[in-house]
Amino acid sequence: MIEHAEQSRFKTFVQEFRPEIKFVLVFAVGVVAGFFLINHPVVDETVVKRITIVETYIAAQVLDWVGFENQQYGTILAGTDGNHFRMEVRNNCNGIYESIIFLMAFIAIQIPWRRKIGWMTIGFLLFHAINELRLISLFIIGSKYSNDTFVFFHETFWQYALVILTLGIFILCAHQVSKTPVAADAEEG
Amino acid sequence: MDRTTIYGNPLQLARRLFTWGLLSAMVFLLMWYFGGINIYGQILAWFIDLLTPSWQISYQSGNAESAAILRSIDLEDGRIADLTFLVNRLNASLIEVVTLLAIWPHRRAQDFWKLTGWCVALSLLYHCGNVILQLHVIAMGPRFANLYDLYWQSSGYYRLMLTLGDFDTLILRHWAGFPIFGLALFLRYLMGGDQQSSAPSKENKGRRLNTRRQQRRKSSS
Repeated sequence: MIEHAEQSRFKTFVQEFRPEIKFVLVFAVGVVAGFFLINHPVVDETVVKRITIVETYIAAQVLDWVGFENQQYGTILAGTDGNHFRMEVRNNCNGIYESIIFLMAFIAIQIPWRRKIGWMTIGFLLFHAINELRLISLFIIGSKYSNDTFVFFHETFWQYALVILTLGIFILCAHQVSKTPVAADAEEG
Repeated sequence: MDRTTIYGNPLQLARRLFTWGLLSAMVFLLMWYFGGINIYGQILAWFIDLLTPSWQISYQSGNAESAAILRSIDLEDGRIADLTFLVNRLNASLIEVVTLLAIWPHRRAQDFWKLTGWCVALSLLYHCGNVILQLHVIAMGPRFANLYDLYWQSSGYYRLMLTLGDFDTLILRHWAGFPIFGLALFLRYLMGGDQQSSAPSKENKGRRLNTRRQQRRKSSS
């Protein structure tokens, strides 16, 4: 009897939460596919590494501009002028794997592309701007403060900040998308 | 919780995220860094020891950079190799679960505690799997073999485990709180808690009764 009740509850769940289940499935498949694509050695060498170098270059320029002189070697940032701190931008620091999560959440949400593409792009750029801020702040913390402080900011503060900001950006963008006039859909349909 | 309440006002959810969510995460982090890491690590090490009877598991207490679960391996020449997994690596998924529990609207306190129970159970389960997988991958890897002058050859099984380990390190570990929370919501629903959204409205109830009556009429005729 209990088994039957649970089975019918499961059935009700599947019927009632069909859009949510579809979202989770598309999202999960997308994330796994994205991971395999980005983790492929060829893609890693030709795309991921180049993006990481560009991100490191931007961080190096901003750091120079704010008074933290440094030298950039590919994905490595090294302090100069008496600053012995060195930092390597690796996967997980370049924001590429986090981007998969953000983009797949937008791809999986069941709203016409025309309505979501704009906010998806804005959110994506905002996310990467925050990630640049993370790289810059980590270099400053590493140069000025102890290793413990750097570890805390690297492994806890920024990890959580990125998650909460990604979630916040996603909720806000999804809210803006849902506010877009329905007339656009009618034209599309 | 009624979905229309959540979907209808995402800004309220965002507000809760940056107020209650942040506050609860900060409280959690204080507890985590002032002793919680060692309590959780001990419990986790005990469960892992239980799940892997052939492994020698111990716990090394310490701070964020030293608290670790250790696996000792007896090598053929009598040496002992210690593999470590830092417990602090697991904090992201726990903070996410705490944040989501804080921002999710709960109808009754009982629903909240049921959901918390499922979240704790699933977090422990995921963390056990995570630590076992990572320690297994390290023990099978070329770096470990080189360190102890052991013969090493790649295999399909090793590549599969390495891929799983990479997926965990690069993606899952940082976001695992979300699937854990989602699964906890699903399990609570399945076990009969907080079914407001599935409860039939008066209108739907009427419709169902009507269809049943129609079916009866059809079968009798």
